Amino acid sequence: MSDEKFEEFLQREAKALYNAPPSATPADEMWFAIERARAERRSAAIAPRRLRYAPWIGMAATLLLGVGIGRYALQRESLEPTVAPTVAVAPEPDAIRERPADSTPGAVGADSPAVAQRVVPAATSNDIPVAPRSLAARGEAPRSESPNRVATSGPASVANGAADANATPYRVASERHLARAEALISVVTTAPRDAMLDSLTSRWAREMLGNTRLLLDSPAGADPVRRRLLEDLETLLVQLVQRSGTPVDERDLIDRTLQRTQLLTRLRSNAAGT
Amino acid sequence: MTDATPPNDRSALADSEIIAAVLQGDARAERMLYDAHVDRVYRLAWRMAGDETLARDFTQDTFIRAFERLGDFRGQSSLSTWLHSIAVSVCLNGLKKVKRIHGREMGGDELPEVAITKREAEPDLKVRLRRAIDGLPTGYRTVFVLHDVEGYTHEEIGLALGIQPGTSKAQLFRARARLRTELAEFAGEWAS
Repeated sequence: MSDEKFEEFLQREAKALYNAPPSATPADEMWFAIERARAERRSAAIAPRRLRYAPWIGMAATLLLGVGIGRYALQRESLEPTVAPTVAVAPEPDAIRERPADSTPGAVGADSPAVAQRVVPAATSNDIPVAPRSLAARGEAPRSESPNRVATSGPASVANGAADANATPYRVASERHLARAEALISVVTTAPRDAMLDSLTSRWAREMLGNTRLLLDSPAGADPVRRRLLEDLETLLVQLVQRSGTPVDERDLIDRTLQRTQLLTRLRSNAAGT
Repeated sequence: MTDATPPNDRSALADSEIIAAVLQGDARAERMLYDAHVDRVYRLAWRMAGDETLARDFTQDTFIRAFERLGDFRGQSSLSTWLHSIAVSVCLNGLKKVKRIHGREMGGDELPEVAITKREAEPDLKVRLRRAIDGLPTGYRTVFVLHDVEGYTHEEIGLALGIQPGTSKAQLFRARARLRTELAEFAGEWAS
């Protein structure tokens, strides 16, 4: 009984006497303070976040630049042989070998007999020879190309040459595109999962998506291997575009796609093979 | 606690609507949510802090945190309970900080527990009661203030403090026992 009375007394007195709050709540004053504090926090949160991502953006840009330079160098090397076959496919290899240095304008062997010897066997064995670098570097191959082609190629080879000429820009474009894709996927797989970076890579993927579709519909998509590569890439790009602001499941889906298609490995093999 | 009863469907719906609007960035909904709960949060902060400036700071911090974390609210308890659990946490952490600063300034010798020993010199019930409550260990005091002063149920206290309702009951029992000892001089007040 005494306990109950004490509890009643305690509750009554404590309510009345212990840290009794004022009857009025300064709601408006506190609300303004809350709004001000939240605005300050928002603005304070934005600047460090930008700084936090700066190294990643820098690294991604450097990676892209490096890959771009590498691809450009590879493209140059891969473009050179397209000139060489025309130079090498000579109907009369002996004539070329025996022709005096100044008898044909820009003859292959004009400056260097060693070069002529390297070219002629390739032509006879129907291999695609690698154009001598010294020749290409000096810009002499184009001079020798026209007379030989006109003199020796039939209508079929003219048509093939035209088709090659049409396909080459698409091939170059697709190689560059795939190099960019490789850079993008490298960033996606190595960078930490983060909303801002996701947004950047999504934008990047969106930019690439249209070109992927165009390449698929172009002569570059005629090659079945490249077509499969571009199709898998397209799937991944769509997932990356849709990733921004989506739950974690979507990211797992991307990881699974990458794992299943081995896209990065295939892109690297493609780059190494060109 | 007046809103201790389980929320009916209407209020639950209203809460969910307000939360959805706040999450979409509706400033009016934010203010509505604030207006609906600020009085009780402020009262609680006042009871815990006993100081107007601290009470304001704690109330503001509570709502700032609540708006930041509203997306995490899963509706497992009522919005009011969730909000008050944030308020309790903010108050306890804030008071710890204040106590630490006071302890540093006063050399740590004049904390409230020590002040109680001078009770012969303080015949006034208000002062004695305040000192006795302030002198309780933090856990006891929090449960006592929430239950006996602010009227929270043990279930709500459990949710707010992350303890079992049984623990809350045990702590309240011990808090009352201590206060009874401390206020023994005033036994005539409740015996009559």
